Amino acid sequence: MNFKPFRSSRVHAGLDMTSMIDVIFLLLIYFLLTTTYAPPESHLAPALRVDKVAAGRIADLQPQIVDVEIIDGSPGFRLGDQVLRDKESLRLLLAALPKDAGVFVKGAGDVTTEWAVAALQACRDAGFDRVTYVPRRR
Amino acid sequence: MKFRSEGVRARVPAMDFTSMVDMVFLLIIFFLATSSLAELNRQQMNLPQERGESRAELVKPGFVVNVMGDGRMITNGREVSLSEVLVQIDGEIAKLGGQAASLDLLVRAERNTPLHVVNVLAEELSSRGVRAWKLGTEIPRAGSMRGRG
Repeated sequence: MNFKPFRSSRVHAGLDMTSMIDVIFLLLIYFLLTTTYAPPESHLAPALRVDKVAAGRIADLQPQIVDVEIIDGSPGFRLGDQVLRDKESLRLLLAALPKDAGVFVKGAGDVTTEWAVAALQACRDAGFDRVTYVPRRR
Repeated sequence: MKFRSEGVRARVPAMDFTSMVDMVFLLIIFFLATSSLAELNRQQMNLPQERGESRAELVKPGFVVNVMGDGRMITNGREVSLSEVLVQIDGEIAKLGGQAASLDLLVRAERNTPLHVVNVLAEELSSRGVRAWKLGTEIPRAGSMRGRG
């Protein structure tokens, strides 16, 4: 008895890979190019406050104040009577301070933005949750 | 005994997937390109090289102000004056029903931008009731850190 057909004649659906490979390579090139052109960005989100003479009573907890300004002819950070010239020194000093009252960063107009941003970053890295930026007139 | 005639053959209907695969990948490319164009529309700038906030929610901000090193301001790909920026910000606040505190604002200032330019903007924002903002940074690549260490 012959239950099988004489010749197996299945028709296979053909899938042409050529164009898929083309497109995959295009995608690869695309990702390589965009990785080059778009540097990763982040942000710092300090609170914003204008420096005003407080009319009311002085708060119990006084925030630390970091001044970013020109000191002896070059930009630097001033924390109390300490003058610091780099972000890491500022971070180390801030890390040892109490964090409850937060910290104010006061940026003078005659430095560049990177110094103010560095001070804000040092505050965050030191563990301060409440970081406030206070613009200072030149 | 013969159960099937020799002439009848099982046929699977052939379906050519090539054009469908082409179309699917073209669609993928289209969506990838358009989404990345939105990113490329971001002004190419030398932002301060800082890590930013480790817990930063990297969602798209509501309004972006680019401040170039020479003090020029660019919003929505167009160079604008400070007063125009403030008009736009007023518009954004109005959209939020006057809730300035809810304004999601990103200021992308180049690292060499004089801080007094940013300070003037900050004071204007503060006078409008904006209590928080974001300052854009560029995450430094390994070995590319420069400046104030």
